[in-house]
Amino acid sequence: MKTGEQRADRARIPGFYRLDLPERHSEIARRFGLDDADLAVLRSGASLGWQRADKMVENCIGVFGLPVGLGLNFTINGHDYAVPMVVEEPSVVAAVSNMARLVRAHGGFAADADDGVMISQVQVVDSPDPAAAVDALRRSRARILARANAVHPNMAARGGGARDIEVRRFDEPFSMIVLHLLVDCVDAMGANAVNAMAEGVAALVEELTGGRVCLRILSNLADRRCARASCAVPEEALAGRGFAGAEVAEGIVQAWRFAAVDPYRAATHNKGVMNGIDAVAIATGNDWRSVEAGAHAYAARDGHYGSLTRWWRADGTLHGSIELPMAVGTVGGSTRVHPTVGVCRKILGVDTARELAMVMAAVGLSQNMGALKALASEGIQRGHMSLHARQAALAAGAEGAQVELVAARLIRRGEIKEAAAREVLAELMREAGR
Amino acid sequence: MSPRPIGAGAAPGKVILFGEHAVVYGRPAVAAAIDVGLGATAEHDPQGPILRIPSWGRDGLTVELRGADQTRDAMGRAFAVALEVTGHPPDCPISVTLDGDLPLGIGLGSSAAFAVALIRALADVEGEALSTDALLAAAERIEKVFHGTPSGIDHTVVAHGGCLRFRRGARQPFVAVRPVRPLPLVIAWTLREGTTRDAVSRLRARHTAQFQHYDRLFDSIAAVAEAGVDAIEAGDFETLGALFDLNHGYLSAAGVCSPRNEEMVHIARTAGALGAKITGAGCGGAIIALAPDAGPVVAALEKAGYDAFATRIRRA
Repeated sequence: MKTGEQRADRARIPGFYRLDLPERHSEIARRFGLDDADLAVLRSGASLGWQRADKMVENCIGVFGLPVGLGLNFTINGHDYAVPMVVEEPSVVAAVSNMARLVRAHGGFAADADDGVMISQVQVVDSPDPAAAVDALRRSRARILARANAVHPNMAARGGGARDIEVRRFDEPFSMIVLHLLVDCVDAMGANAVNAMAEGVAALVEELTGGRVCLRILSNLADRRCARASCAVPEEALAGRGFAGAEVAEGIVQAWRFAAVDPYRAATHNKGVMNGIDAVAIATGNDWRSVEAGAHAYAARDGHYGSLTRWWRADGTLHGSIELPMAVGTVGGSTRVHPTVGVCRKILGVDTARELAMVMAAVGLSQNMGALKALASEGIQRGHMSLHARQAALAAGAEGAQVELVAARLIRRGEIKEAAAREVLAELMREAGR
Repeated sequence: MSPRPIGAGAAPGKVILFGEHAVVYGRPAVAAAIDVGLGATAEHDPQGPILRIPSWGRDGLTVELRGADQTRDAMGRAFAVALEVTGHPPDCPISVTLDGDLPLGIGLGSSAAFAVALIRALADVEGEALSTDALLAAAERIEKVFHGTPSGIDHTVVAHGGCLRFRRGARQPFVAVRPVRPLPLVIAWTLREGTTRDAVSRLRARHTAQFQHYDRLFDSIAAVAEAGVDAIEAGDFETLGALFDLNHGYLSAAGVCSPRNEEMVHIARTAGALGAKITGAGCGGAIIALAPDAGPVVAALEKAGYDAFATRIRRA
């Protein structure tokens, strides 16, 4: 059992960014109980080793290294987390850490996650009587589930296994029946297990439907395995650099609305969310492409591609939330192969796949908040600048159409002062006189 | 759609890797759970208790306990015991459906898998996972319904999963064996020629007549079993394959291998298996082959008319 006390200094490491690399290592060694071997793994750019790599892919010629950053300040459901993030893009780790610090000061993130239920799909074609086939599958639910669980007895013994079925029928233009097995993979991502279960029921499904089974494979739209996170920050806490908190909050909400209505913006908005989530997926040895696929498909689940997050203002508070499929595991797959993953897992200290999914949702929300705040602030700054520039132009004696022209040149010069405005105005008059 | 499932359970089948028959004479045996097993789904059913096994027998098997004489057949008694040990009254409105690809009656632990999967599904209805001890005790009661005095190997391996070394009468009869990497096995089988009981009693008669020779044979099997544990834990497949072959040879000498057993073992070795042996009582039934490249071995056995599939032995 984790207690707040034991984990109290896990998340907050003031001035961490100012330390040099050896100082950071002694800091994390102390806080997360890392030994010299762990630190050596982090220092090595290729801890995987090419012998191991050669067993993973075909035509292996080497090992690729990426930076590991530490996302700080996360408080989620009252627990503190330092979050290892593998990412090559600058500013991602800083943005999530800054926003997590802001959220932490106001109660932290609340998060939850569904059980580890994956969907395994079995495609049936050429069924002579589709309606009867659908019926037969539905009536044989208990038998299909028993057959599926027989394929992976250990999973059922660990409290997981095939829980339920769904039967879907597609007609024109391509008629087929699709059987879903809903399989609780508990702490595994579960791809191999659910694929084996779909394979295991194929013969029975053909017998029941009179059709032919084609594909039998998991769906990456893991919408029964969603993670959610939310946060609430008083608007005045967003004030800074001369901006009022309410102004920033409004900017964030407007930026979110843009993503909510426009797929062109939503793609970029969600890409930012995944900057944070993918970085944790890689650090913990999970398949980030499957998390990506699930996230974007989920963002389009009602036929319109929109935002994975939501931001709104209420009673002087900015509220944010995120919900997306999170098919990640803490056992099996590649989570045990990569030495750096082992060290990252020590630092992160999650016990279950659900806990990991909650952390990843909070990181995604944090990243989104950071991105929207920066974009909104930039927009506000531009707004402020043009207002000041117009005032300076007027004070310098500009009139009519001159005001906008002078203001634009001031902004380009980055020098918004009355003296500069007079120079620009004189310049304009000379140009006009020629 | 039928009502939502209210409980689920599953259990693997098992193979004996080393020491069958010799185990009856106090020598060690090594047994392991396989990937293929039985699953069970419990549903609410006002007509219950009903047990359905649609894949067994020609038209499937249905056991109805309500108003029926439970003592009539072994399956009914076993179901009644399973309900009792999981705290369900004899008239509870529950039906359980079992299914799976585990072949029956060839020594792959189907009755133990039946017992454990059934008990797990019924315990799951109450949302409780039974302790391993409670599960073992309950499974043993069901095994006794089918087999009189079971050795305990089957239901213990099936309930634990993984790989276990067993020695009858030892202070700790079961000790976990930990494969450093999964063992790639091919299992092939044919119909049994007679029962386990017959095979054991025929060997018993020969042992009584010639015990000095048979005891030496069993000692050799014991030595192979101990070496096999080391090879499994070292992941040394070459040695393990050779030990499979040796163990099979000793069992041939003991007279428990039928011509079809010999043929299956021979086909597996010729198709690239590192070693092969009968598993279980012999006299027909199943063989196992250690085959890192399973495809050609399965294909060769199937071509000769045998059923075969690939599986893996993992640590629990």
